[in-house]
Amino acid sequence: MSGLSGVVVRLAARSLPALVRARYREEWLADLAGAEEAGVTRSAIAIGALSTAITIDRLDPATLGMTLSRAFTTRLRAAAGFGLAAALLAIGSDAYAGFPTLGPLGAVVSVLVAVLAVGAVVATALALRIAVAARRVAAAILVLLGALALLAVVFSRVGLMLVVLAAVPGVAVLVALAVVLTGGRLASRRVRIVTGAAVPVGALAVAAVGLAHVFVWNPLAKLPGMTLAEIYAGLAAAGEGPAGGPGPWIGAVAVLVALGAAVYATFALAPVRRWSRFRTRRRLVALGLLLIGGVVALVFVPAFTMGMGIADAYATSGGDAAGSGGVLALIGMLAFAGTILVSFVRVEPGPPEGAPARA
Amino acid sequence: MEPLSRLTPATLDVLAALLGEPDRIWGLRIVGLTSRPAGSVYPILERLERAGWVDSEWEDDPARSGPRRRLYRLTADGVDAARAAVTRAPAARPAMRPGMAGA
Repeated sequence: MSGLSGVVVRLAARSLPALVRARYREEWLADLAGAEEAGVTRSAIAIGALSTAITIDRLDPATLGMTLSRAFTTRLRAAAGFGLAAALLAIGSDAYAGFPTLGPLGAVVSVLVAVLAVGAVVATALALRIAVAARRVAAAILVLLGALALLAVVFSRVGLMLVVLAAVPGVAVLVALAVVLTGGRLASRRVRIVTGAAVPVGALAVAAVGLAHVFVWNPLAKLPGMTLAEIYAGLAAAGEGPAGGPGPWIGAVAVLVALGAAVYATFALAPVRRWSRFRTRRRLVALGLLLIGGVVALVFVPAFTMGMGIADAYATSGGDAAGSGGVLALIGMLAFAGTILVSFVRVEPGPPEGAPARA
Repeated sequence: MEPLSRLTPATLDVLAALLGEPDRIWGLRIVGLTSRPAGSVYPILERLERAGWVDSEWEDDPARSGPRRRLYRLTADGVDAARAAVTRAPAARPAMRPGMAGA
Protein backbone atom coordinates (compact mmCIF):
# COMPACT_ATOMS: atom_id res chain seq x y z
CA MET A 1 0.00 0.00 0.00
CA SER A 2 2.71 2.43 -0.97
CA GLY A 3 2.51 5.47 -3.22
CA LEU A 4 1.35 9.01 -2.75
CA SER A 5 -2.30 8.04 -2.22
CA GLY A 6 -1.28 5.71 0.60
CA VAL A 7 0.71 8.49 2.26
CA VAL A 8 -2.16 10.97 1.89
CA VAL A 9 -4.67 8.50 3.33
CA ARG A 10 -2.44 7.76 6.30
CA LEU A 11 -1.86 11.46 6.97
CA ALA A 12 -5.58 12.21 6.65
CA ALA A 13 -6.36 9.42 9.12
CA ARG A 14 -3.63 10.64 11.47
CA SER A 15 -5.25 14.06 11.63
CA LEU A 16 -8.60 12.67 12.80
CA PRO A 17 -9.76 12.64 16.43
CA ALA A 18 -8.36 9.66 18.33
CA LEU A 19 -11.63 7.77 18.59
CA VAL A 20 -12.15 7.38 14.84
CA ARG A 21 -8.52 7.46 13.68
CA ALA A 22 -7.86 3.72 13.49
CA ARG A 23 -11.26 2.98 11.97
CA TYR A 24 -10.91 5.35 9.01
CA ARG A 25 -7.27 4.43 8.49
CA GLU A 26 -8.20 0.77 8.01
CA GLU A 27 -11.30 1.60 5.97
CA TRP A 28 -9.43 3.85 3.55
CA LEU A 29 -6.50 1.48 3.22
CA ALA A 30 -8.95 -1.32 2.39
CA ASP A 31 -10.57 0.97 -0.19
CA LEU A 32 -7.16 1.66 -1.73
CA ALA A 33 -6.52 -2.08 -1.93
CA GLY A 34 -9.88 -2.62 -3.65
CA ALA A 35 -9.82 0.51 -5.81
CA GLU A 36 -9.30 -1.34 -9.07
CA GLU A 37 -12.08 -3.81 -8.31
CA ALA A 38 -14.50 -0.95 -7.60
CA GLY A 39 -13.43 1.02 -10.63
CA VAL A 40 -12.33 3.99 -8.55
CA THR A 41 -8.93 5.64 -8.86
CA ARG A 42 -6.58 5.66 -5.88
CA SER A 43 -6.25 9.42 -6.09
CA ALA A 44 -10.06 9.77 -5.79
CA ILE A 45 -9.89 7.75 -2.56
CA ALA A 46 -7.10 9.98 -1.27
CA ILE A 47 -9.22 13.06 -2.04
CA GLY A 48 -12.17 11.40 -0.28
CA ALA A 49 -10.04 10.81 2.79
CA LEU A 50 -8.85 14.41 2.80
CA SER A 51 -12.40 15.69 2.35
CA THR A 52 -13.58 13.63 5.32
CA ALA A 53 -10.67 14.85 7.44
CA ILE A 54 -11.59 18.43 6.62
CA THR A 55 -15.36 18.16 7.04
CA ILE A 56 -15.68 15.74 9.95
CA ASP A 57 -17.26 17.31 13.02
CA ARG A 58 -14.43 17.32 15.50
CA LEU A 59 -16.64 18.52 18.32
CA ASP A 60 -19.09 15.64 18.14
CA PRO A 61 -18.66 13.32 21.15
CA ALA A 62 -18.90 10.38 18.72
CA THR A 63 -15.66 11.46 17.07
CA LEU A 64 -14.06 13.22 20.01
CA GLY A 65 -14.33 10.25 22.32
CA MET A 66 -14.63 12.61 25.26
CA THR A 67 -16.90 15.30 26.63
CA LEU A 68 -16.59 18.85 25.32
CA SER A 69 -15.38 19.90 28.73
CA ARG A 70 -12.52 17.41 28.66
CA ALA A 71 -11.72 18.27 25.05
CA PHE A 72 -11.55 21.94 26.04
CA THR A 73 -9.12 21.15 28.86
CA THR A 74 -6.99 19.01 26.56
CA ARG A 75 -6.75 21.71 23.87
CA LEU A 76 -6.13 24.37 26.50
CA ARG A 77 -3.31 22.34 28.01
CA ALA A 78 -1.79 21.85 24.57
CA ALA A 79 -2.07 25.58 23.87
CA ALA A 80 -0.41 26.40 27.19
CA GLY A 81 2.31 23.80 26.63
CA PHE A 82 3.19 24.90 23.11
CA GLY A 83 2.85 28.58 23.99
CA LEU A 84 4.96 28.47 27.16
CA ALA A 85 7.64 26.31 25.50
CA ALA A 86 7.80 28.73 22.56
CA ALA A 87 7.94 31.69 24.93
CA LEU A 88 10.72 30.08 26.98
CA LEU A 89 12.82 29.40 23.89
CA ALA A 90 12.14 32.86 22.45
CA ILE A 91 13.00 34.63 25.71
CA GLY A 92 16.06 32.42 26.20
CA SER A 93 17.30 33.16 22.69
CA ASP A 94 16.80 36.84 23.31
CA ALA A 95 18.52 36.78 26.70
CA TYR A 96 21.44 34.61 25.71
CA ALA A 97 23.67 36.13 23.06
CA GLY A 98 25.67 32.98 22.43
CA PHE A 99 23.43 31.35 19.83
CA PRO A 100 24.68 33.31 16.84
CA THR A 101 28.07 31.64 17.38
CA LEU A 102 26.42 28.23 16.99
CA GLY A 103 25.47 28.74 13.36
CA PRO A 104 22.95 26.15 12.13
CA LEU A 105 22.44 24.84 15.68
CA GLY A 106 21.29 28.29 16.77
CA ALA A 107 18.90 28.41 13.83
CA VAL A 108 17.30 25.22 15.17
CA VAL A 109 15.96 27.27 18.08
CA SER A 110 14.31 29.75 15.73
CA VAL A 111 12.67 26.94 13.76
CA LEU A 112 11.51 25.28 16.99
CA VAL A 113 10.02 28.53 18.26
CA ALA A 114 8.13 28.93 14.99
CA VAL A 115 6.80 25.34 15.04
CA LEU A 116 5.76 25.59 18.69
CA ALA A 117 4.12 28.96 18.08
CA VAL A 118 2.06 27.48 15.23
CA GLY A 119 1.08 24.59 17.53
CA ALA A 120 0.04 27.10 20.20
CA VAL A 121 -2.06 29.09 17.75
CA VAL A 122 -3.80 25.96 16.40
CA ALA A 123 -4.48 24.59 19.89
CA THR A 124 -5.74 27.99 21.07
CA ALA A 125 -8.06 28.21 18.07
CA LEU A 126 -9.40 24.71 18.79
CA ALA A 127 -9.90 25.54 22.47
CA LEU A 128 -11.72 28.74 21.52
CA ARG A 129 -13.93 26.86 19.06
CA ILE A 130 -14.90 24.36 21.75
CA ALA A 131 -15.51 27.13 24.28
CA VAL A 132 -17.79 28.92 21.84
CA ALA A 133 -19.61 25.67 20.91
CA ALA A 134 -20.12 24.88 24.60
CA ARG A 135 -21.21 28.49 25.22
CA ARG A 136 -18.44 28.99 27.75
CA VAL A 137 -17.93 32.67 27.08
CA ALA A 138 -15.88 33.30 30.20
CA ALA A 139 -13.54 30.45 29.31
CA ALA A 140 -13.15 31.77 25.76
CA ILE A 141 -12.29 35.25 27.04
CA LEU A 142 -9.77 33.80 29.50
CA VAL A 143 -8.12 31.78 26.72
CA LEU A 144 -7.77 34.89 24.59
CA LEU A 145 -6.42 36.97 27.48
CA GLY A 146 -3.90 34.24 28.35
CA ALA A 147 -2.66 34.06 24.77
CA LEU A 148 -2.37 37.86 24.56
CA ALA A 149 -0.51 38.02 27.90
CA LEU A 150 1.98 35.45 26.67
CA LEU A 151 2.52 37.36 23.44
CA ALA A 152 3.01 40.60 25.40
CA VAL A 153 5.67 39.00 27.61
CA VAL A 154 7.56 37.57 24.63
CA PHE A 155 7.49 40.73 22.55
CA SER A 156 8.07 43.23 25.36
CA ARG A 157 11.74 42.22 25.40
CA VAL A 158 11.88 41.88 29.16
CA GLY A 159 13.43 38.47 28.60
CA LEU A 160 16.66 38.77 30.56
CA MET A 161 14.97 40.38 33.53
CA LEU A 162 12.40 37.61 33.54
CA VAL A 163 15.05 34.91 33.30
CA VAL A 164 16.88 36.34 36.32
CA LEU A 165 13.82 37.16 38.43
CA ALA A 166 11.90 34.00 37.61
CA ALA A 167 14.80 31.55 37.79
CA VAL A 168 14.14 30.09 41.24
CA PRO A 169 10.32 30.35 41.34
CA GLY A 170 10.26 29.28 37.69
CA VAL A 171 12.10 26.04 38.41
CA ALA A 172 9.86 25.45 41.44
CA VAL A 173 6.79 25.90 39.24
CA LEU A 174 8.25 23.50 36.67
CA VAL A 175 8.84 20.89 39.39
CA ALA A 176 5.22 21.24 40.49
CA LEU A 177 3.99 20.95 36.89
CA ALA A 178 6.17 17.93 36.21
CA VAL A 179 4.76 16.19 39.26
CA VAL A 180 1.11 17.23 39.19
CA LEU A 181 0.26 17.23 35.48
CA THR A 182 1.99 14.06 34.41
CA GLY A 183 -0.49 11.30 35.05
CA GLY A 184 -1.29 8.67 32.47
CA ARG A 185 0.20 5.31 31.66
CA LEU A 186 2.49 3.72 34.20
CA ALA A 187 6.07 3.22 33.10
CA SER A 188 7.10 -0.29 32.20
CA ARG A 189 10.13 -1.86 33.85
CA ARG A 190 12.09 -1.26 30.65
CA VAL A 191 11.22 2.45 30.56
CA ARG A 192 12.15 2.79 34.22
CA ILE A 193 15.52 1.13 33.64
CA VAL A 194 16.28 3.24 30.56
CA THR A 195 15.33 6.56 32.18
CA GLY A 196 16.79 5.55 35.55
CA ALA A 197 20.17 5.00 33.88
CA ALA A 198 20.16 7.58 31.06
CA VAL A 199 18.99 10.60 33.04
CA PRO A 200 21.58 10.40 35.85
CA VAL A 201 24.36 9.70 33.34
CA GLY A 202 23.14 12.60 31.19
CA ALA A 203 22.95 14.93 34.18
CA LEU A 204 26.50 14.06 35.27
CA ALA A 205 27.78 14.46 31.69
CA VAL A 206 26.15 17.89 31.34
CA ALA A 207 27.62 18.92 34.69
CA ALA A 208 31.10 17.77 33.59
CA VAL A 209 30.84 19.66 30.30
CA GLY A 210 29.44 22.68 32.11
CA LEU A 211 32.27 22.80 34.64
CA ALA A 212 34.87 22.31 31.91
CA HIS A 213 33.27 25.18 30.02
CA VAL A 214 33.19 27.50 33.01
CA PHE A 215 36.66 26.82 34.39
CA VAL A 216 38.70 25.77 31.34
CA TRP A 217 37.28 26.31 27.84
CA ASN A 218 35.64 29.70 28.33
CA PRO A 219 38.54 31.41 30.18
CA LEU A 220 40.97 30.16 27.50
CA ALA A 221 38.63 31.38 24.74
CA LYS A 222 38.13 34.78 26.38
CA LEU A 223 41.84 35.38 26.93
CA PRO A 224 43.65 33.92 23.93
CA GLY A 225 47.41 33.64 24.36
CA MET A 226 47.26 33.10 28.12
CA THR A 227 47.59 29.76 29.85
CA LEU A 228 45.06 28.60 32.43
CA ALA A 229 47.64 29.02 35.22
CA GLU A 230 48.30 32.62 34.17
CA ILE A 231 44.58 33.40 34.04
CA TYR A 232 43.90 32.07 37.54
CA ALA A 233 47.03 33.79 38.90
CA GLY A 234 45.76 37.07 37.44
CA LEU A 235 42.32 36.52 38.94
CA ALA A 236 43.80 35.82 42.38
CA ALA A 237 46.03 38.87 42.18
CA ALA A 238 43.04 41.07 41.31
CA GLY A 239 40.88 39.51 44.01
CA GLU A 240 38.36 38.43 41.40
CA GLY A 241 36.81 35.15 40.35
CA PRO A 242 35.83 32.26 42.58
CA ALA A 243 37.20 32.52 46.09
CA GLY A 244 39.53 29.62 46.80
CA GLY A 245 39.81 28.73 43.12
CA PRO A 246 37.60 26.43 41.07
CA GLY A 247 37.91 23.47 43.48
CA PRO A 248 35.12 24.33 45.96
CA TRP A 249 32.74 25.29 43.12
CA ILE A 250 33.43 22.10 41.23
CA GLY A 251 32.95 20.09 44.44
CA ALA A 252 29.69 21.85 45.31
CA VAL A 253 28.21 21.41 41.82
CA ALA A 254 29.34 17.78 41.67
CA VAL A 255 27.76 16.98 45.04
CA LEU A 256 24.45 18.67 44.18
CA VAL A 257 24.22 17.05 40.75
CA ALA A 258 25.16 13.64 42.15
CA LEU A 259 22.48 14.09 44.81
CA GLY A 260 19.85 14.99 42.19
CA ALA A 261 20.91 12.07 39.98
CA ALA A 262 20.73 9.68 42.94
CA VAL A 263 17.25 10.89 43.94
CA TYR A 264 16.05 10.49 40.36
CA ALA A 265 17.59 7.04 39.96
CA THR A 266 16.05 5.96 43.25
CA PHE A 267 12.61 7.19 42.19
CA ALA A 268 12.88 5.44 38.83
CA LEU A 269 14.51 2.19 39.86
CA ALA A 270 13.82 1.43 43.53
CA PRO A 271 11.83 -1.81 43.88
CA VAL A 272 9.18 -0.18 46.07
CA ARG A 273 5.73 -1.35 45.06
CA ARG A 274 3.96 1.61 46.69
CA TRP A 275 5.79 4.00 44.36
CA SER A 276 4.62 2.21 41.24
CA ARG A 277 1.48 4.26 40.76
CA PHE A 278 3.50 7.49 40.83
CA ARG A 279 5.97 6.30 38.22
CA THR A 280 4.15 7.25 35.02
CA ARG A 281 6.05 7.46 31.76
CA ARG A 282 5.42 11.16 31.35
CA ARG A 283 6.45 11.93 34.92
CA LEU A 284 9.73 10.07 34.53
CA VAL A 285 10.49 11.91 31.29
CA ALA A 286 9.41 15.32 32.62
CA LEU A 287 11.42 14.98 35.81
CA GLY A 288 14.41 13.66 33.87
CA LEU A 289 14.39 16.64 31.51
CA LEU A 290 13.91 18.93 34.49
CA LEU A 291 16.98 17.47 36.19
CA ILE A 292 19.09 18.05 33.07
CA GLY A 293 17.79 21.62 32.71
CA GLY A 294 18.39 22.16 36.42
CA VAL A 295 22.02 21.11 36.06
CA VAL A 296 22.52 23.76 33.37
CA ALA A 297 20.85 26.35 35.59
CA LEU A 298 23.10 25.29 38.48
CA VAL A 299 26.24 25.65 36.34
CA PHE A 300 25.12 29.20 35.54
CA VAL A 301 25.99 30.23 39.14
CA PRO A 302 29.78 29.58 38.92
CA ALA A 303 29.64 30.69 35.26
CA PHE A 304 28.36 34.09 36.35
CA THR A 305 31.02 34.42 39.05
CA MET A 306 33.81 33.42 36.65
CA GLY A 307 32.50 35.58 33.83
CA MET A 308 32.25 38.66 36.00
CA GLY A 309 35.63 37.93 37.61
CA ILE A 310 37.36 37.69 34.23
CA ALA A 311 35.53 40.78 32.98
CA ASP A 312 36.67 42.84 35.98
CA ALA A 313 40.23 41.49 36.13
CA TYR A 314 40.97 41.61 32.40
CA ALA A 315 38.55 44.28 31.16
CA THR A 316 36.68 41.89 28.88
CA SER A 317 32.96 41.31 28.45
CA GLY A 318 31.21 39.01 30.92
CA GLY A 319 29.61 36.89 28.22
CA ASP A 320 30.59 33.51 26.85
CA ALA A 321 33.40 33.28 24.31
CA ALA A 322 33.54 29.48 23.94
CA GLY A 323 30.91 27.78 21.78
CA SER A 324 30.34 25.25 24.55
CA GLY A 325 28.43 27.96 26.45
CA GLY A 326 25.86 28.18 23.67
CA VAL A 327 25.56 24.41 23.50
CA LEU A 328 24.96 24.24 27.26
CA ALA A 329 22.37 27.01 27.17
CA LEU A 330 20.67 25.26 24.28
CA ILE A 331 20.58 21.96 26.19
CA GLY A 332 19.14 23.71 29.23
CA MET A 333 16.45 25.57 27.31
CA LEU A 334 15.45 22.52 25.32
CA ALA A 335 15.27 20.46 28.52
CA PHE A 336 13.04 23.04 30.23
CA ALA A 337 10.90 23.42 27.10
CA GLY A 338 10.65 19.62 26.96
CA THR A 339 9.54 19.53 30.59
CA ILE A 340 6.77 22.01 29.80
CA LEU A 341 5.64 20.11 26.72
CA VAL A 342 5.61 16.69 28.39
CA SER A 343 3.78 18.12 31.41
CA PHE A 344 1.09 20.03 29.55
CA VAL A 345 0.49 18.32 26.23
CA ARG A 346 -1.59 15.20 26.68
CA VAL A 347 -1.66 12.80 23.76
CA GLU A 348 -5.20 11.50 23.27
CA PRO A 349 -5.29 7.74 23.53
CA GLY A 350 -7.05 5.91 20.73
CA PRO A 351 -9.41 2.97 21.24
CA PRO A 352 -7.79 -0.38 22.05
CA GLU A 353 -6.21 -2.18 19.10
CA GLY A 354 -8.84 -3.90 16.97
CA ALA A 355 -11.72 -2.42 18.90
CA PRO A 356 -14.49 -0.96 16.79
CA ALA A 357 -14.56 2.80 17.01
CA ARG A 358 -18.07 4.13 16.48
CA ALA A 359 -19.16 0.54 15.79
CA MET B 1 -31.53 9.88 14.77
CA GLU B 2 -30.86 13.52 13.94
CA PRO B 3 -32.35 15.33 10.95
CA LEU B 4 -29.84 16.42 8.35
CA SER B 5 -29.21 20.13 8.09
CA ARG B 6 -29.04 19.90 4.29
CA LEU B 7 -29.97 17.31 1.70
CA THR B 8 -27.77 17.86 -1.33
CA PRO B 9 -28.27 15.99 -4.61
CA ALA B 10 -25.18 13.93 -3.78
CA THR B 11 -26.66 13.02 -0.38
CA LEU B 12 -29.90 11.96 -2.06
CA ASP B 13 -27.90 9.82 -4.49
CA VAL B 14 -26.14 8.11 -1.61
CA LEU B 15 -29.44 7.54 0.21
CA ALA B 16 -30.99 6.12 -2.96
CA ALA B 17 -28.04 3.78 -3.45
CA LEU B 18 -28.36 2.57 0.14
CA LEU B 19 -32.13 2.10 -0.25
CA GLY B 20 -31.46 -0.07 -3.28
CA GLU B 21 -29.28 -2.46 -1.31
CA PRO B 22 -31.00 -4.74 1.20
CA ASP B 23 -27.68 -5.94 2.60
CA ARG B 24 -24.73 -4.07 3.94
CA ILE B 25 -22.75 -2.44 1.19
CA TRP B 26 -19.06 -1.61 0.87
CA GLY B 27 -18.43 2.14 1.07
CA LEU B 28 -16.43 2.21 -2.13
CA ARG B 29 -19.24 0.40 -3.93
CA ILE B 30 -21.50 3.36 -3.09
CA VAL B 31 -18.98 5.61 -4.83
CA GLY B 32 -19.35 3.44 -7.93
CA LEU B 33 -23.14 3.20 -7.71
CA THR B 34 -23.70 6.92 -7.42
CA SER B 35 -21.01 7.92 -9.91
CA ARG B 36 -20.17 10.60 -7.39
CA PRO B 37 -16.54 11.29 -6.47
CA ALA B 38 -15.23 9.74 -3.26
CA GLY B 39 -14.51 13.31 -2.17
CA SER B 40 -18.29 13.78 -1.94
CA VAL B 41 -19.42 10.30 -0.88
CA TYR B 42 -16.98 9.73 2.00
CA PRO B 43 -17.96 12.90 3.94
CA ILE B 44 -21.65 12.18 3.25
CA LEU B 45 -21.35 8.67 4.69
CA GLU B 46 -19.54 10.07 7.71
CA ARG B 47 -22.30 12.65 8.23
CA LEU B 48 -25.09 10.10 7.74
CA GLU B 49 -23.49 7.73 10.22
CA ARG B 50 -22.92 10.43 12.81
CA ALA B 51 -26.56 11.51 12.45
CA GLY B 52 -27.77 7.93 12.95
CA TRP B 53 -29.17 7.42 9.44
CA VAL B 54 -26.56 4.79 8.66
CA ASP B 55 -24.56 2.29 10.65
CA SER B 56 -21.50 0.41 9.58
CA GLU B 57 -19.42 -2.59 10.52
CA TRP B 58 -16.31 -4.39 9.37
CA GLU B 59 -16.60 -7.00 6.66
CA ASP B 60 -16.08 -10.48 8.00
CA ASP B 61 -14.45 -12.22 5.08
CA PRO B 62 -11.68 -14.66 6.11
CA ALA B 63 -10.79 -15.13 2.44
CA ARG B 64 -9.62 -11.51 2.18
CA SER B 65 -6.40 -10.56 3.96
CA GLY B 66 -5.17 -7.10 4.85
CA PRO B 67 -7.25 -4.15 6.03
CA ARG B 68 -10.97 -4.85 6.38
CA ARG B 69 -13.64 -3.21 4.25
CA ARG B 70 -16.27 -1.09 5.96
CA LEU B 71 -19.85 -2.04 5.12
CA TYR B 72 -22.73 0.43 5.41
CA ARG B 73 -26.48 0.02 5.87
CA LEU B 74 -29.38 2.34 6.58
CA THR B 75 -30.69 2.06 10.13
CA ALA B 76 -34.36 1.24 10.63
CA ASP B 77 -35.19 4.92 11.16
CA GLY B 78 -32.80 5.79 8.37
CA VAL B 79 -34.74 3.68 5.89
CA ASP B 80 -37.94 5.63 6.56
CA ALA B 81 -36.21 8.99 6.51
CA ALA B 82 -34.23 8.16 3.37
CA ARG B 83 -37.32 6.93 1.57
CA ALA B 84 -39.17 10.13 2.46
CA ALA B 85 -36.25 12.29 1.39
CA VAL B 86 -35.78 10.53 -1.92
CA THR B 87 -39.52 10.59 -2.61
CA ARG B 88 -39.63 14.31 -1.95
CA ALA B 89 -36.92 14.79 -4.55
CA PRO B 90 -37.84 12.42 -7.36
CA ALA B 91 -35.33 13.97 -9.72
CA ALA B 92 -32.48 12.68 -7.64
CA ARG B 93 -31.67 9.10 -8.57
CA PRO B 94 -28.39 7.31 -8.42
CA ALA B 95 -26.76 6.97 -11.79
CA MET B 96 -26.50 3.20 -11.51
CA ARG B 97 -23.56 1.78 -13.35
CA PRO B 98 -24.06 -1.58 -15.07
CA GLY B 99 -22.87 -4.51 -13.06
CA MET B 100 -22.27 -2.48 -9.92
CA ALA B 101 -25.21 -3.68 -7.88
CA GLY B 102 -24.48 -5.72 -4.76
CA ALA B 103 -21.73 -5.45 -2.19
